[in-house]
Amino acid sequence: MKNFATALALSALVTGAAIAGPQGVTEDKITLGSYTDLSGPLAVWGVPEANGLRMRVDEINAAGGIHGRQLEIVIEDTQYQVPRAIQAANKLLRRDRVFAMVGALGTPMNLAVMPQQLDAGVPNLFPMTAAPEMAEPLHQMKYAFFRNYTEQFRAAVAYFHDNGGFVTPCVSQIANEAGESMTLGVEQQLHEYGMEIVAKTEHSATETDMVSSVTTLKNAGCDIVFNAGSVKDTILTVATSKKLGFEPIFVTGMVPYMDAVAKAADGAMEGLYLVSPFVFADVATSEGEAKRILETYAETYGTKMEPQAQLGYIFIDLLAEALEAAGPELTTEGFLAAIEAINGYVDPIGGQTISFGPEDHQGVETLILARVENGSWTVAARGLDY
Amino acid sequence: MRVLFRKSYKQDIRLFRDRTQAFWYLLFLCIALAAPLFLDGYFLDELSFVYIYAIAGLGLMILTGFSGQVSFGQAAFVAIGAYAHTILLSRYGVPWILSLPLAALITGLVGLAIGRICGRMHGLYLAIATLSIAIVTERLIGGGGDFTGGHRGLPVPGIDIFGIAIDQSWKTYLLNLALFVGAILMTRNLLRTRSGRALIAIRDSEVSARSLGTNVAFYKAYAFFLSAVFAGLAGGLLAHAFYYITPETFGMGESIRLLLMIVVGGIGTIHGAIFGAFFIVLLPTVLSWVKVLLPGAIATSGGFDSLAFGMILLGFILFEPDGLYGRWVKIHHYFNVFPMYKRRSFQRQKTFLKTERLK
Repeated sequence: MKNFATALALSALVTGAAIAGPQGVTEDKITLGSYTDLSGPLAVWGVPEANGLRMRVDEINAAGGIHGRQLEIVIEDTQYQVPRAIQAANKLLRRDRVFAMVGALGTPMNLAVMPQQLDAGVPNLFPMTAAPEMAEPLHQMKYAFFRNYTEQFRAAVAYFHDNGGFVTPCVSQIANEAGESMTLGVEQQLHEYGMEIVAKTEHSATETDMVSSVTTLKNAGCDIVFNAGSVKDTILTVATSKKLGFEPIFVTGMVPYMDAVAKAADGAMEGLYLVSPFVFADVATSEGEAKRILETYAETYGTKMEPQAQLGYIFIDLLAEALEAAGPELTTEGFLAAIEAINGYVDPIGGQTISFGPEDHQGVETLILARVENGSWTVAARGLDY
Repeated sequence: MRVLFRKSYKQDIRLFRDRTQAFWYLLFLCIALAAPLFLDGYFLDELSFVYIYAIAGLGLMILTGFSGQVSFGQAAFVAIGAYAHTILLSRYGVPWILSLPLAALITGLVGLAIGRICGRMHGLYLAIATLSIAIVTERLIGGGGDFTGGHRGLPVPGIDIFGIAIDQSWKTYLLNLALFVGAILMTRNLLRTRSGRALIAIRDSEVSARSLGTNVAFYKAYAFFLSAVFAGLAGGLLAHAFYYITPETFGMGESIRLLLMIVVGGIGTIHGAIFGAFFIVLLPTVLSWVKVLLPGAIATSGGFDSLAFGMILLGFILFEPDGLYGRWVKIHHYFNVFPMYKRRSFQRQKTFLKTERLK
């Protein structure tokens, strides 16, 4: 019993110390944390993201930091596994004592980590997932960057309904939580028009053969297929359809918004649409500050700046904006107020407008429509909504 | 070197070999109990994970290490335990203290049913069958709609035992420690009972086990049952450690991790499951410390963890198939009999033909 009492006293001491000032902030340093997939199935997202985060942090530090404080970002690898994410978050929250979590990747990982993170008073900023739970229910420490998957697909349905229309809408869904959110968006928006999904197929993330699923869609006579999927399965579905002579309009969400997808399968992706809350900028078509960032990245990391790297860069830029506004006396409350006050921030790369408010913890305001043309993504329309 | 004189048959089934051994284990227990006094919440949470994985590992050890049935599907049982516990707690309002054993029992019954079917298979076929169980379970939970929360998953309510909220690291640590020690004692006890000996007899030779009057089919299913009960228990505890469960959490990767755990630890021993759990859970943590000391290019590259993990694993499989515990026993023996150590001491004395299987 004495052990328990001492432990209780000790833990009270620790908690007491934490109240004195926000964790992760010292006279000359602010520590930020992030966990992402650096060596698992979503490393294609995580690795460039980590580079983008680091690049902006390095730039800010080289320019003298924020109110005299240097930024430090600790990035942990989760291999897209919840147990690893919990361990990583445990380390970030309690050993590194981070001030805020930024760009954490994966819906299940965020959902698992958030309860203890929010209890510890560490804000969850701009997670790398567009699940609705990242902003809902409203919480003073939860801020999402993207418009969620459901809204992305509602906007997609609305756009194609108003521009050309369709008769037999279908869904090809990946069997996970993101897929479910996307399909929900299609269902909700079709319901507005008094329509229903004509055919729906489901596949797992590891499936390598889409023939049966594509055949189902083909036999149902779909004229538009909303592909509620991830990266590899989207390529497979579209390429298999081409092979089987089935060529409806394919529309997908933000996850396959990558150069590798546009160039996949020898031009089979031509004409694929996607709806996204961010813009994948290209060196050839960008100018000014955006061009500088893209070129610097290519020089530093030896590859073209992938959209995830662009996002990482924007996340830190947005966060720095709030840190700047929060002033030299940094507290978590002051910082959160500064985020809520962000209004009309235009991202330096893609030019999307981002605003928050007391009731609005979802950053990006409108969506864009991108299309594969000559093996690369081009913005076909901006300002999509429903 | 100490020589053990056997004076009675009871000596064979004692919990500890002698007083020295008892002293050491009790000392470890005391240190573990006192850990909240000198470790902070971070290490306590890490150790909690070790204990929970060790419970799941003990379950798999009963199945694979003692009864000789390879299973690639242990994570499926962990998932069933986690879901049963969470659903009983949050949807049916069952008290925690009842919900956990109920979840373990439900998992055990599922394990029994699967064991009855899979018990007829051996080696590669059994591995494939259990692998498919892991995949099917993940898909079934994902497709379970509102009942299982589908792919979206379920939030896990907090632990509440008779009105006492277990909400701090040191409390969950002690709870996990208690159940972990209980699981060790149960496994230890199993090994000195008739059924435990039957399992080992079946592992070593099905023909001789059958000829000695052991009901092979029954005990194989029994091993599945016990293994699933342990996995279910670990699942219930893991659910709390995760705060939120999704079917992806308990995918095939997790099953393979559990199997690797007991192989690295040392298959066929209780120590093996525990050493393996320490290895699997703490390795990423240790690597993340080591990484800070390495040059930036290596530290920030993605695959470092996987590479280090793979290399260590390869090292074990090539140079120490008996795992961490096997190595420990050899080192211990080396000093015990110094300078008379012979490598031959650890050569397998009996070998059985793979063909002597019974349907």
